[in-house]
Amino acid sequence: MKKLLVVCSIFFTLTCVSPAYAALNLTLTQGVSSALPIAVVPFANDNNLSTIVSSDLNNSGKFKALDPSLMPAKPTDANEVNLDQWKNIKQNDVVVGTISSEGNQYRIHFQLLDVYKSNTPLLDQSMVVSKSQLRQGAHHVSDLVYQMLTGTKGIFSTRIAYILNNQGQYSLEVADYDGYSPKAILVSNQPILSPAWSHDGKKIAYVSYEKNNSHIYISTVATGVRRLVSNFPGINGAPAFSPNDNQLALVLSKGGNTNIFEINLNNNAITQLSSDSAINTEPSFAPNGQSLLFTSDRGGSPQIYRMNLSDHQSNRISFNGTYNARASFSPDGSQIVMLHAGSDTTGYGIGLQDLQSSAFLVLDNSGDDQSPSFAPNGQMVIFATKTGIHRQLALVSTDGRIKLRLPSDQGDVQEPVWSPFLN
Amino acid sequence: MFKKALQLGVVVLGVVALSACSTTGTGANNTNDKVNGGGDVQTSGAGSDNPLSNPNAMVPGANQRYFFDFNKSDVHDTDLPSIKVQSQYLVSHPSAKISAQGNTDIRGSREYNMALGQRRAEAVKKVFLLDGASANQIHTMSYGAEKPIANGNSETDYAQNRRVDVNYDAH
Repeated sequence: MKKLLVVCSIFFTLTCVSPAYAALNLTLTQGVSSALPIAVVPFANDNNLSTIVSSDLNNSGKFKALDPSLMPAKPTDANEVNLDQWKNIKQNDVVVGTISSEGNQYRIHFQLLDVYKSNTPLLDQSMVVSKSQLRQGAHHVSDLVYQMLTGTKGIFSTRIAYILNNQGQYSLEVADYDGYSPKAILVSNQPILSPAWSHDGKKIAYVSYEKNNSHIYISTVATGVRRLVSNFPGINGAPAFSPNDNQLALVLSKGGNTNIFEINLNNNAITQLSSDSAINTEPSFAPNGQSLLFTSDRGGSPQIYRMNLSDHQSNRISFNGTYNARASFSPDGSQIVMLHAGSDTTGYGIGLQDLQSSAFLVLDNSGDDQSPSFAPNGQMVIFATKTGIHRQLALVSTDGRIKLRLPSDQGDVQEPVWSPFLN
Repeated sequence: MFKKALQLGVVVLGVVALSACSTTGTGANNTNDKVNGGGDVQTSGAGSDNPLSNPNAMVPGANQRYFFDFNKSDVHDTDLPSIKVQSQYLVSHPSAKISAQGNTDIRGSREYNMALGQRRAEAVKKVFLLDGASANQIHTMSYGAEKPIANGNSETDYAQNRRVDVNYDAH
């Protein structure tokens, strides 16, 4: 058994904190006509904050934020809001606020009003952020507004990790959910695969070919410091953290076929979980930690199986289509999303299966989709698609009605994984 | 193993001794004929119109490319003669080593493709071993879908990527 090494590889890691620009440009391509009209009025001393909040709410597909040029007035306090003005242009809600500069920090004060109720705000909050964290402050406002009006936690302060492949130059990147402020955790001229977030949002496990064979590493996102976890001969692949982050499920071939294993990250003990001659790969833990999903072709073609972790017994759980792989649970454990082909001729899309009813919904079917990942509020799925020559990221709501694209001009973007809630 | 190598060495020596007495033939092809026990060696043209061709299939010691069907890891019957040629080269050159690198179509699951590429490389290795090559001369690995040679979306592009590359290690 190989020793686990703590490696501080400055040579291979690049932590460039970029200025706030979007390498990926999130664009809504399909919304719903029942989106709630909301006016986010430019704040006093605004500095772009209200624009970020409007974009966030639009990106959810559940709101339609009013263009500031159509606003009848620009109040900055709830008491200044003339409710009739906003009712006349069919806005349901109004957000107003102020930003004031305090040294190297901003104080943000905002209020949310329902124009059909009264001038008493539904939300009235202040926060202080450092000047470099204005985007994060705006996203926090969006989260609070979204939760108040939909009852669901917003994902505007979450992040995505993905692999960028620019003509053979690979990087593992972490960006805001909307593609802003990308930061490279690893840069390499050999493939990087299968990024996976830890459940505390602090680490990412991944597979790197920098030593000319697949090795699994875990990097700490904030510092780039990393640890070599697995470098057995043959394939080391598909890392996945257990819900308490103490175990890492992974795939080893040790020269033969691939089976599922588990490493205890505290004491390095390795347990073999599957042991047959099929291809077994892509383990993914249930939120309650009692089972895991995996892909196996033991039945002839790739399908999804569920293994009970108490006795390592598995059963097949996907029965739609000819090819199902890369499955993962929704945060509440009630659904699974997967890479899905309906038949040998329909190509690859994204499928969503309800575990209780077995209802199956095809969320997208471009013919060459892969790598779906749930948002931590269970409402959206991010995945990789292929339009033309390059791979691009896309998002779809779990009812299939809201669609977004995240195009990049930097080559292929693949294997997105959505972070857990980070605040 | 040693005994077998010794027997083979004796055969090769015998053949070389015989060829030394013969009149000169057509150079390189003639030598190849003798090493292969007198079988015909055919070098084919580049066949550039067919992206799934392997022009050096029967040239001993030349790098090879073997193609596979969708989601399958069965070695094509039509590749068996080429593998036989390469196995015999390995047998007669015990310090030669090859790396069999499995690849797949760019579609579908990347990790499944990694394992499928490995399975394809192992399938090629198995044929080499049946043909008498030594396991310690053959390294297998997989690049899955990560090193495509064709990036388009046509069936021909997909087919070109479903391959095992057999590369002789430089000495």
